[in-house]
Amino acid sequence: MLYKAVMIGGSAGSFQVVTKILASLPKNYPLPVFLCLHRLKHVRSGFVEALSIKAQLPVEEPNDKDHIKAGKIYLAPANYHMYIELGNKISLSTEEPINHSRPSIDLSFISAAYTYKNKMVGIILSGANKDGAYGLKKVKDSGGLTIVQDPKECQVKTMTTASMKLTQVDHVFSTNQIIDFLLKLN
Amino acid sequence: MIQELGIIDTKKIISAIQEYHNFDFSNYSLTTFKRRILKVVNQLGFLNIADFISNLNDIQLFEKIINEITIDTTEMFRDPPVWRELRDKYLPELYKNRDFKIWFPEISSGDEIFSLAIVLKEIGLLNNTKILVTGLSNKKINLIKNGGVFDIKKMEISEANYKRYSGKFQLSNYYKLQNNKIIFNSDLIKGIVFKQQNLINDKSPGNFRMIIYRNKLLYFNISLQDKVVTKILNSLMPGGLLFIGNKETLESTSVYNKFSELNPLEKIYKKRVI
Repeated sequence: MLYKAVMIGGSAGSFQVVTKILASLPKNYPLPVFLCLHRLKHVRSGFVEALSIKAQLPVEEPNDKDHIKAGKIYLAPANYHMYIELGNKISLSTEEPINHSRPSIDLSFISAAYTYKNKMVGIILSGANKDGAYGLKKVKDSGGLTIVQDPKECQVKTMTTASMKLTQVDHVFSTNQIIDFLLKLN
Repeated sequence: MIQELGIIDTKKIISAIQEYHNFDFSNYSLTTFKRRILKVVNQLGFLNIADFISNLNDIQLFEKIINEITIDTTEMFRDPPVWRELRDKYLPELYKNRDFKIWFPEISSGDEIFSLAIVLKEIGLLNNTKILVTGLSNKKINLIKNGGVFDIKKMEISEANYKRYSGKFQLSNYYKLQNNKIIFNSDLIKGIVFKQQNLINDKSPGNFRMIIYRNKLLYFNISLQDKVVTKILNSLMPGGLLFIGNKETLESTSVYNKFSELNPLEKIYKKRVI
């Protein structure tokens, strides 16, 4: 298989997009999907439940050092950074927020790019902050495939335009095109 | 600015520190370790990693690394339900034992120490509690002894947490503002014993009724987590409580069955009596 993982970053305006993507991934999806979405740090519960309603795959907020499994959706927990480690493990961190964000999309993407190299797909969705732009660049620099949600379609386009400014991204896709693409990896 | 640390350089750094300072970072979580090292490299303006490595025998550089590796960016009253449970349930229960000992291993900031001191003060148990605080970095221990010294910006978050905890007053009752820094009332911690200690190598103190060790296991790989949790287990009295971070788990350790889980959401464990 060409890819080993998909990582999706987003903030304001990305919830519905993520929900739609998760709803369309089938039960036997062969890759792990990591979600790093900006969220209220003190609201720890409810997000996984909300994302799970329409998802066919199990959605969870991993514990530190959880073993990564295909066909699972991993959501970065509130108030922690989420990293992908060598050896197929997730680690969490309470290091300082980056761009006022913990979880930081940049840090998740940088660690995933380091671990998966050219075997990952990085996707940036609607968002009100430039967090994620640098991380997506690291994915591209490491040979991974980069996708940005079409800013025309984004509720808030700061994150996607910042990403496109920093990186010659591989695809600018609508939500439906992102879904088609992810299903072809199946 | 150097932005990446390859695996070969990382290994060289770990073995140089091991050789010069007899400190083993080889079982630390790799991503965080690399980030902290790069932070030191860039703060000190090293132009390449080879230069940095050849300076690693320097004791001041080592202390700087220890300072940077001991993550101090948590909050006061982080996860307010934990502190509420402590106040409403666990501390009053412990108090039945008259005097009791609590240990904070590997402390790198004053956040949780001042949080606990405030909880104890507000329920009138501060003077009945013996608290030991140990940490790797002398610099950080001294900072805490002098009142914590917190950033004003960070204090907004802590104030909000304290409100969610539903404390008796406002957090500002307990601190003063000095040169744009927050300094906590040192009366809160005057009974606390502070000690510099390497949790992994040094002999651990014993007989604690409670150990608070939240969001520290995150920075170790599974084999070091196992070693540290075993040490902590041996420092707890039977029936004693262990608090870890709400996204940490003891499940992968070899001593998991020595604990029962009191609160699976907030990760509060009790050492089994037999």
